[in-house]
Amino acid sequence: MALDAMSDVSDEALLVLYANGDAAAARSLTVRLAPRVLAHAYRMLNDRAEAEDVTQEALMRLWKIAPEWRQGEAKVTTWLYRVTANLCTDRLRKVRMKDIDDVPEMADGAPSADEGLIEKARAEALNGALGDLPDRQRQAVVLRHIEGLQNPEIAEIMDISVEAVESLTARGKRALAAALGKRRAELGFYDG
Amino acid sequence: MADPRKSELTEAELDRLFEASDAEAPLPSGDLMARIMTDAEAVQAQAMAPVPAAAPQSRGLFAGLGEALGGWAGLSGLGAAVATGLVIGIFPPDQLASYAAALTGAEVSLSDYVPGDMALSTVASDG
Repeated sequence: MALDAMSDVSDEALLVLYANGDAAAARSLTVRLAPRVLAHAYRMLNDRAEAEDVTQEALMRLWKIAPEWRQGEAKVTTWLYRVTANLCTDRLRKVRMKDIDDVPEMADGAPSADEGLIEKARAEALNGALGDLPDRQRQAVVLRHIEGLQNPEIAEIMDISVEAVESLTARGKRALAAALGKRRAELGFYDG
Repeated sequence: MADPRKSELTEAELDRLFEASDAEAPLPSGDLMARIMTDAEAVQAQAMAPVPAAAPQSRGLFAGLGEALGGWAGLSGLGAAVATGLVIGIFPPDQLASYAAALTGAEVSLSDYVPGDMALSTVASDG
Protein backbone atom coordinates (compact mmCIF):
# COMPACT_ATOMS: atom_id res chain seq x y z
CA MET A 1 0.00 0.00 0.00
CA ALA A 2 1.28 3.47 -0.86
CA LEU A 3 2.31 5.62 2.05
CA ASP A 4 -0.20 8.27 1.07
CA ALA A 5 -3.03 6.33 -0.52
CA MET A 6 -5.23 9.44 -0.48
CA SER A 7 -2.92 11.71 -2.43
CA ASP A 8 -5.82 13.27 -4.33
CA VAL A 9 -7.67 14.25 -1.16
CA SER A 10 -7.00 17.70 0.36
CA ASP A 11 -5.49 18.08 3.81
CA GLU A 12 -8.70 19.68 5.04
CA ALA A 13 -10.86 16.80 3.81
CA LEU A 14 -8.45 14.30 5.33
CA LEU A 15 -8.72 16.02 8.67
CA VAL A 16 -12.50 15.72 8.57
CA LEU A 17 -12.16 12.04 7.65
CA TYR A 18 -9.80 11.60 10.59
CA ALA A 19 -12.29 13.24 12.93
CA ASN A 20 -14.90 10.79 11.67
CA GLY A 21 -12.73 7.83 12.65
CA ASP A 22 -10.84 7.09 9.43
CA ALA A 23 -7.48 5.63 10.48
CA ALA A 24 -6.00 5.83 6.97
CA ALA A 25 -6.55 9.59 6.99
CA ALA A 26 -4.25 9.92 10.00
CA ARG A 27 -1.53 8.02 8.18
CA SER A 28 -1.84 10.18 5.05
CA LEU A 29 -1.75 13.40 7.06
CA THR A 30 1.28 12.21 9.00
CA VAL A 31 3.16 11.27 5.83
CA ARG A 32 2.37 14.63 4.24
CA LEU A 33 2.76 16.98 7.13
CA ALA A 34 5.38 15.56 9.50
CA PRO A 35 8.31 16.18 7.10
CA ARG A 36 7.25 19.79 6.54
CA VAL A 37 6.75 20.49 10.21
CA LEU A 38 10.03 18.83 11.14
CA ALA A 39 11.97 20.77 8.48
CA HIS A 40 10.47 24.07 9.58
CA ALA A 41 11.05 23.36 13.27
CA TYR A 42 14.63 22.29 12.56
CA ARG A 43 15.37 25.50 10.67
CA MET A 44 13.88 27.53 13.47
CA LEU A 45 15.65 25.65 16.28
CA ASN A 46 18.75 24.17 14.64
CA ASP A 47 18.35 21.20 16.96
CA ARG A 48 17.11 17.86 15.69
CA ALA A 49 15.80 16.47 18.98
CA GLU A 50 13.97 19.69 19.84
CA ALA A 51 12.54 19.84 16.32
CA GLU A 52 11.21 16.28 16.65
CA ASP A 53 9.51 17.12 19.94
CA VAL A 54 7.92 20.19 18.37
CA THR A 55 6.75 18.11 15.40
CA GLN A 56 5.06 15.57 17.63
CA GLU A 57 3.45 18.30 19.74
CA ALA A 58 2.24 20.29 16.72
CA LEU A 59 0.61 17.24 15.18
CA MET A 60 -0.88 16.28 18.55
CA ARG A 61 -2.61 19.66 18.56
CA LEU A 62 -3.85 18.98 15.03
CA TRP A 63 -5.39 15.66 16.09
CA LYS A 64 -7.12 17.33 19.01
CA ILE A 65 -8.51 20.22 16.98
CA ALA A 66 -9.80 17.90 14.22
CA PRO A 67 -13.40 17.54 15.52
CA GLU A 68 -13.77 21.34 15.56
CA TRP A 69 -12.16 21.96 12.17
CA ARG A 70 -14.26 24.07 9.82
CA GLN A 71 -13.51 23.43 6.16
CA GLY A 72 -12.87 26.59 4.20
CA GLU A 73 -11.78 28.72 7.14
CA ALA A 74 -8.06 28.05 6.91
CA LYS A 75 -5.56 25.75 5.28
CA VAL A 76 -4.29 22.98 7.51
CA THR A 77 -0.70 23.82 6.55
CA THR A 78 -1.15 27.49 7.43
CA TRP A 79 -2.56 26.58 10.83
CA LEU A 80 0.19 24.03 11.37
CA TYR A 81 2.99 26.42 10.45
CA ARG A 82 1.59 28.92 12.92
CA VAL A 83 1.40 26.35 15.71
CA THR A 84 4.90 25.12 14.89
CA ALA A 85 6.30 28.64 14.92
CA ASN A 86 4.67 29.36 18.28
CA LEU A 87 6.06 26.17 19.79
CA CYS A 88 9.51 27.01 18.44
CA THR A 89 9.31 30.55 19.80
CA ASP A 90 8.42 29.21 23.24
CA ARG A 91 11.48 26.97 23.19
CA LEU A 92 13.73 29.71 21.86
CA ARG A 93 12.75 31.89 24.76
CA LYS A 94 14.03 29.23 27.12
CA VAL A 95 17.14 28.13 25.28
CA ARG A 96 18.83 30.62 22.97
CA MET A 97 20.18 29.46 19.66
CA LYS A 98 23.72 28.24 19.39
CA ASP A 99 26.24 30.76 18.11
CA ILE A 100 27.29 30.49 14.50
CA ASP A 101 30.77 29.67 15.78
CA ASP A 102 29.43 26.33 16.96
CA VAL A 103 28.88 25.25 13.37
CA PRO A 104 31.75 23.02 12.34
CA GLU A 105 33.96 24.92 9.97
CA MET A 106 36.03 23.49 7.17
CA ALA A 107 39.72 24.27 7.07
CA ASP A 108 40.50 27.53 5.27
CA GLY A 109 41.71 27.05 1.74
CA ALA A 110 40.88 23.39 1.70
CA PRO A 111 37.36 23.11 0.35
CA SER A 112 36.24 19.58 -0.28
CA ALA A 113 36.03 18.43 -3.86
CA ASP A 114 33.00 16.44 -2.83
CA GLU A 115 29.98 18.39 -3.97
CA GLY A 116 27.82 16.64 -1.41
CA LEU A 117 30.00 17.89 1.40
CA ILE A 118 29.85 21.43 0.07
CA GLU A 119 26.08 21.28 -0.06
CA LYS A 120 26.04 20.03 3.51
CA ALA A 121 28.46 22.75 4.60
CA ARG A 122 26.30 25.39 2.92
CA ALA A 123 23.16 24.12 4.61
CA GLU A 124 24.87 24.04 7.99
CA ALA A 125 26.38 27.50 7.55
CA LEU A 126 23.00 28.89 6.54
CA ASN A 127 21.26 27.26 9.49
CA GLY A 128 23.87 28.70 11.82
CA ALA A 129 23.47 32.18 10.35
CA LEU A 130 19.69 31.87 10.48
CA GLY A 131 20.05 31.18 14.18
CA ASP A 132 21.61 34.60 14.65
CA LEU A 133 18.68 36.43 13.07
CA PRO A 134 15.86 37.78 15.21
CA ASP A 135 13.13 35.15 15.49
CA ARG A 136 10.63 36.90 13.23
CA GLN A 137 13.18 37.59 10.50
CA ARG A 138 14.31 33.98 10.61
CA GLN A 139 10.75 32.70 10.37
CA ALA A 140 9.93 34.94 7.41
CA VAL A 141 13.12 34.05 5.52
CA VAL A 142 12.67 30.32 6.09
CA LEU A 143 9.03 30.34 5.00
CA ARG A 144 9.70 32.49 1.93
CA HIS A 145 13.06 31.38 0.62
CA ILE A 146 13.49 27.80 1.80
CA GLU A 147 9.98 26.48 2.11
CA GLY A 148 8.74 28.51 -0.85
CA LEU A 149 5.51 29.93 0.56
CA GLN A 150 3.96 33.04 -0.96
CA ASN A 151 3.94 36.30 0.97
CA PRO A 152 0.16 36.39 1.60
CA GLU A 153 0.25 32.96 3.24
CA ILE A 154 3.29 33.94 5.30
CA ALA A 155 1.44 37.07 6.36
CA GLU A 156 -1.45 34.91 7.52
CA ILE A 157 0.85 32.52 9.38
CA MET A 158 2.71 35.34 11.12
CA ASP A 159 -0.38 37.48 11.58
CA ILE A 160 1.22 40.53 9.96
CA SER A 161 0.79 42.46 6.71
CA VAL A 162 2.32 41.42 3.42
CA GLU A 163 4.44 44.59 3.54
CA ALA A 164 5.79 43.57 6.92
CA VAL A 165 6.69 40.14 5.50
CA GLU A 166 8.57 41.81 2.64
CA SER A 167 10.42 44.02 5.10
CA LEU A 168 11.37 41.10 7.35
CA THR A 169 12.63 38.94 4.49
CA ALA A 170 14.61 41.79 2.95
CA ARG A 171 16.34 42.63 6.23
CA GLY A 172 16.93 38.96 6.94
CA LYS A 173 18.53 38.33 3.58
CA ARG A 174 20.80 41.36 3.93
CA ALA A 175 21.96 40.13 7.32
CA LEU A 176 22.60 36.62 5.97
CA ALA A 177 24.51 37.94 2.96
CA ALA A 178 26.73 40.02 5.23
CA ALA A 179 27.32 37.28 7.79
CA LEU A 180 28.06 34.54 5.29
CA GLY A 181 30.09 36.70 2.90
CA LYS A 182 33.06 36.26 5.21
CA ARG A 183 32.88 32.50 4.65
CA ARG A 184 32.64 32.65 0.87
CA ALA A 185 35.64 30.40 0.19
CA GLU A 186 34.65 27.58 2.52
CA LEU A 187 31.16 27.66 1.01
CA GLY A 188 32.60 27.05 -2.44
CA PHE A 189 32.12 30.57 -3.85
CA TYR A 190 35.40 31.73 -5.33
CA ASP A 191 34.51 34.40 -7.84
CA GLY A 192 33.35 37.13 -5.50
CA MET B 1 40.46 44.12 -6.28
CA ALA B 2 38.01 43.72 -3.43
CA ASP B 3 38.71 41.02 -0.88
CA PRO B 4 35.99 38.41 -1.46
CA ARG B 5 36.29 37.27 2.16
CA LYS B 6 34.95 40.63 3.32
CA SER B 7 32.20 41.12 0.77
CA GLU B 8 28.59 40.13 1.08
CA LEU B 9 27.14 37.14 -0.71
CA THR B 10 25.31 37.94 -3.91
CA GLU B 11 21.62 37.22 -4.39
CA ALA B 12 22.48 34.20 -6.55
CA GLU B 13 24.88 32.81 -3.95
CA LEU B 14 22.31 33.23 -1.23
CA ASP B 15 19.81 31.36 -3.38
CA ARG B 16 22.31 28.50 -3.67
CA LEU B 17 22.43 28.33 0.12
CA PHE B 18 18.65 28.28 0.35
CA GLU B 19 18.58 25.44 -2.17
CA ALA B 20 21.22 23.55 -0.22
CA SER B 21 19.23 23.99 2.98
CA ASP B 22 16.09 22.70 1.26
CA ALA B 23 17.98 19.67 -0.06
CA GLU B 24 19.46 18.94 3.36
CA ALA B 25 16.13 19.12 5.19
CA PRO B 26 15.95 16.46 7.90
CA LEU B 27 13.55 13.60 7.29
CA PRO B 28 11.39 12.24 10.11
CA SER B 29 12.76 9.04 11.60
CA GLY B 30 10.66 5.91 11.73
CA ASP B 31 10.46 6.33 15.49
CA LEU B 32 9.05 9.85 15.18
CA MET B 33 6.47 8.74 12.61
CA ALA B 34 5.45 5.87 14.90
CA ARG B 35 5.07 8.22 17.88
CA ILE B 36 2.91 10.58 15.82
CA MET B 37 0.70 7.74 14.59
CA THR B 38 0.32 6.42 18.14
CA ASP B 39 -0.84 9.88 19.24
CA ALA B 40 -3.26 10.10 16.31
CA GLU B 41 -4.80 6.72 17.07
CA ALA B 42 -5.10 7.44 20.79
CA VAL B 43 -6.80 10.81 20.25
CA GLN B 44 -9.08 9.31 17.61
CA ALA B 45 -10.05 6.39 19.85
CA GLN B 46 -10.82 8.75 22.70
CA ALA B 47 -12.94 10.99 20.48
CA MET B 48 -14.87 8.05 19.05
CA ALA B 49 -15.49 6.33 22.41
CA PRO B 50 -19.16 6.34 23.53
CA VAL B 51 -19.96 8.87 26.22
CA PRO B 52 -20.70 7.15 29.58
CA ALA B 53 -24.34 7.44 30.76
CA ALA B 54 -23.37 9.06 34.04
CA ALA B 55 -19.90 10.42 34.35
CA PRO B 56 -18.76 10.25 38.00
CA GLN B 57 -17.09 13.64 37.68
CA SER B 58 -20.42 15.33 36.95
CA ARG B 59 -21.88 14.69 40.45
CA GLY B 60 -22.09 17.67 42.72
CA LEU B 61 -20.67 18.28 46.16
CA PHE B 62 -23.88 17.34 47.99
CA ALA B 63 -24.24 14.07 46.08
CA GLY B 64 -20.73 13.09 47.11
CA LEU B 65 -21.30 14.20 50.68
CA GLY B 66 -24.54 12.21 50.90
CA GLU B 67 -22.77 9.10 49.68
CA ALA B 68 -19.98 9.62 52.21
CA LEU B 69 -22.56 9.74 55.00
CA GLY B 70 -24.09 6.43 53.98
CA GLY B 71 -26.64 7.37 51.34
CA TRP B 72 -30.30 8.04 52.06
CA ALA B 73 -30.35 5.69 55.05
CA GLY B 74 -27.41 7.47 56.60
CA LEU B 75 -28.92 10.86 55.93
CA SER B 76 -32.20 9.74 57.60
CA GLY B 77 -30.31 8.74 60.72
CA LEU B 78 -28.43 12.00 60.67
CA GLY B 79 -31.73 13.89 60.39
CA ALA B 80 -33.16 12.05 63.39
CA ALA B 81 -30.06 12.83 65.44
CA VAL B 82 -30.29 16.49 64.49
CA ALA B 83 -33.96 16.57 65.52
CA THR B 84 -33.14 14.95 68.87
CA GLY B 85 -30.43 17.50 69.51
CA LEU B 86 -32.86 20.26 68.69
CA VAL B 87 -35.37 18.90 71.23
CA ILE B 88 -32.70 18.71 73.93
CA GLY B 89 -31.70 22.25 73.13
CA ILE B 90 -35.26 23.51 73.44
CA PHE B 91 -35.79 21.69 76.73
CA PRO B 92 -32.89 22.58 79.09
CA PRO B 93 -31.53 19.86 81.45
CA ASP B 94 -33.66 20.94 84.43
CA GLN B 95 -36.74 20.33 82.37
CA LEU B 96 -35.46 17.16 80.77
CA ALA B 97 -36.67 14.92 83.57
CA SER B 98 -40.23 16.18 83.41
CA TYR B 99 -40.16 15.93 79.62
CA ALA B 100 -38.96 12.33 79.84
CA ALA B 101 -41.55 11.60 82.48
CA ALA B 102 -44.22 13.07 80.28
CA LEU B 103 -43.08 10.84 77.44
CA THR B 104 -42.53 7.60 79.39
CA GLY B 105 -44.68 8.04 82.51
CA ALA B 106 -41.65 7.14 84.70
CA GLU B 107 -39.71 9.22 87.24
CA VAL B 108 -36.22 9.93 86.00
CA SER B 109 -33.48 12.22 87.18
CA LEU B 110 -30.65 13.99 85.40
CA SER B 111 -28.15 11.50 86.90
CA ASP B 112 -29.76 8.77 84.83
CA TYR B 113 -28.32 10.46 81.74
CA VAL B 114 -24.74 11.02 82.85
CA PRO B 115 -21.89 8.52 83.53
CA GLY B 116 -21.58 7.12 87.04
CA ASP B 117 -18.57 9.11 88.32
CA MET B 118 -20.07 12.36 87.05
CA ALA B 119 -23.34 11.48 88.78
CA LEU B 120 -21.45 10.97 92.04
CA SER B 121 -19.76 14.31 91.83
CA THR B 122 -23.10 15.88 91.06
CA VAL B 123 -24.57 14.26 94.17
CA ALA B 124 -21.55 15.32 96.29
CA SER B 125 -21.80 18.90 95.21
CA ASP B 126 -25.52 18.81 95.90
CA GLY B 127 -24.94 17.51 99.41
